[in-house]
Amino acid sequence: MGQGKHNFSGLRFLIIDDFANFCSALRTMVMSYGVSDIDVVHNGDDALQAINKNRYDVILCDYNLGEGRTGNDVLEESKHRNLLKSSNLFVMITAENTAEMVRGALEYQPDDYLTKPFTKEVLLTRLERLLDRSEAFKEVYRLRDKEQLTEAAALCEQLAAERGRYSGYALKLQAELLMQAKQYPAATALFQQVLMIKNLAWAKLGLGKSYYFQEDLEKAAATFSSLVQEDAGYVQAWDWLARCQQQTGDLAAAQQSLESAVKVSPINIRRQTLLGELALENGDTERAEVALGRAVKIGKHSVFREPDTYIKLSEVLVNKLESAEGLSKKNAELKALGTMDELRQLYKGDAEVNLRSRLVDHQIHTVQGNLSEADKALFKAYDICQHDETGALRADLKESLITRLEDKGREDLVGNLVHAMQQEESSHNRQAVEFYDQGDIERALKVLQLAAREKPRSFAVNLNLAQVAMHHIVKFGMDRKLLEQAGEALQRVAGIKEDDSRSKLYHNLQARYLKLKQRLGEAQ
Amino acid sequence: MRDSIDFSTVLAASVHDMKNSIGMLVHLVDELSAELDQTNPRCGQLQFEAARLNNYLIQLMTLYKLEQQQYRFSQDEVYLDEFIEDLVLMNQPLLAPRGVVIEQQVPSDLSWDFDAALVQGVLGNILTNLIRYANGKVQVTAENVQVSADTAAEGLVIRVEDDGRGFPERMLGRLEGEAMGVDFISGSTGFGLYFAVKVAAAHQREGRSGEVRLSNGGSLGGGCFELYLP
Repeated sequence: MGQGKHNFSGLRFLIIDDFANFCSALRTMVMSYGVSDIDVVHNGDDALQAINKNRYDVILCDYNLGEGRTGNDVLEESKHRNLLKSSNLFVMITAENTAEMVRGALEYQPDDYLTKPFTKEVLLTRLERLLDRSEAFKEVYRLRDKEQLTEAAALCEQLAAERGRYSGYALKLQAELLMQAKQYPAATALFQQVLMIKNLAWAKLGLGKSYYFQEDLEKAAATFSSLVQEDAGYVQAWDWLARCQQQTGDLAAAQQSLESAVKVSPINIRRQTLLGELALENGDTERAEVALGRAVKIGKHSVFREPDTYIKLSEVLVNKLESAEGLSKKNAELKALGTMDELRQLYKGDAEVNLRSRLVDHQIHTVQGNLSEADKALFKAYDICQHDETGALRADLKESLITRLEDKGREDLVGNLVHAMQQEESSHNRQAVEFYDQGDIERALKVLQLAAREKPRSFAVNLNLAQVAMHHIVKFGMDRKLLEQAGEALQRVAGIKEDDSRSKLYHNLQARYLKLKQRLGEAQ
Repeated sequence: MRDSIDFSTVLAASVHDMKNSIGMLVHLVDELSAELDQTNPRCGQLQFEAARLNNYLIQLMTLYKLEQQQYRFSQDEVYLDEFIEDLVLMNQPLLAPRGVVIEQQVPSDLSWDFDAALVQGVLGNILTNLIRYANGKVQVTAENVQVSADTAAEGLVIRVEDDGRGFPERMLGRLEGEAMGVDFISGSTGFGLYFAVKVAAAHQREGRSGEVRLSNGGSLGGGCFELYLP
């Protein structure tokens, strides 16, 4: 098995464990193999930073990183962000006998698992074997990292045909490469070929996925269903089944599937979030509250955390407020406000998150009849918008604020907001001008339509949209819908002041529009 | 009166925590023995007992999961030479202080489909016990066997033997889980065997299921444990 065959002295190691004692023991072990380049970190964030900055040949990561963070997060995020090269080895160390549980829940598999406690001889032997394998697949990894996926897959096929120790791994890798290359029919064929010989769960899951990406949802769902029947603990199969059910519009079934998945593996923020969203769509606010609450709790220390989850949870709680009474009403209020507080803490300096949370606060206080608190929240929201000099904040949030200010009769503040929005520029707008100058009217129009959705009140965007839409009509012929769009865009600029430099352009365009409209009327 | 909680649930819940604690203990013992005189037999003994406790708890937990049907059975292709090398390495710290040598005889191209974690638990326990009773030698072999003369079906046999005084007469033969009784499974060896029988039975293929057999004599003249997997 090539004991001592590999030279460890040139390898770079990263050790990740929240237990300082264990880190130092592991470090001593690794040093005894002749390794001198060893970094040690104690939490997931530092780990990701280290992996982002340096290329490690071997990463030894404990599964349990404390504070709700797991080695799984580190692995998933590293793969997600493409921080690992194919030849980099990731070894997951599990403290308990939970490896079998962990395995089914992982989207990405580590190269090996090791259960604590282990001796330095055990670790060395494992590493030697992994390095042997890396040696055998060196060319495959090189091709994969150069995105030559088809070639890499072909090479795997050759290696699999050699029928040795690595043929199983080669087949798995070949299938993975075909999926990555989006060669789904070829992947389907390969999975079927593997399944003819042996009923392997990974092959069945892969088969289902290959159907899914070929949009054969029926076959995909059937494959995942049979997988979960064989093994109700196979979380990934439940996730994919839910995805199929969601696609076909069977949201109740999708929620059921995810319920089964979280029963086995609750510590997954994306799964809990999706479950919460599905429950919400199904009108099951009770389950939505539980799932979103869990997602928020798990996500506190995770890179997969999203402000949306916090907002949705608070919205569920606001709904609850409207019907609840007594103590449970008070609890819901405190929980909703607390969630928003926490959100602001986690996203300090993020104006959009701040704005959204203030709008939710306003809603909570309004429902509870705390009018002065509601006003405070509203003015805080207004203040955030006032400081949005670059126009980076989402228009729909500002519109929501405008509506609420109108309800309060604060036309003065509404006027300020509207004026600021009218003056906003858009990066899409600049891009559209470039296309237009190149004579690509089609693309300029597309980009401007996007810009108008993003900044519906912006004068600059609306004027350009009207102009380009009418140019399109002149050049390619009458288009009723497009003319309507131009008319609507001009209407949004109607309030432009006479001393505005663009006022003349507006009147020109308006005249052109009326002419085109008349022509349309005559044609009919 | 309050409802009493099922004792096995309490046990399963607390085993988890005990397991963490023992993990730490094993690690501390390892550290200590590295600092202290390696040849001190009491260090080896400490390590040995900690490892035994560790395996015991893992098996308790696994048994619980098997019985609650919570265990995720995962059969995969395993190369026996690597598998047994791992087992031997895990038991390495126990060997030197006892002056026991392990020999492994495994064909390099032999592979089989089974749940590696379960079988490792079984063999780890058996090996630990046989090392304890051995005079100086333990042998692990694995081979392909024909199930019977009239079928082409094959099985895998993993055999662990020692040169000790062998198993008591009443334990010999094919072990049956139901017939083992409480007095049989009390004590480390008995519990390990009970676990082995459960794990063997969990491995099924085409109507055949795994078996455990004990005999005396064998190639080293001591006890011989055989795990048969279909």
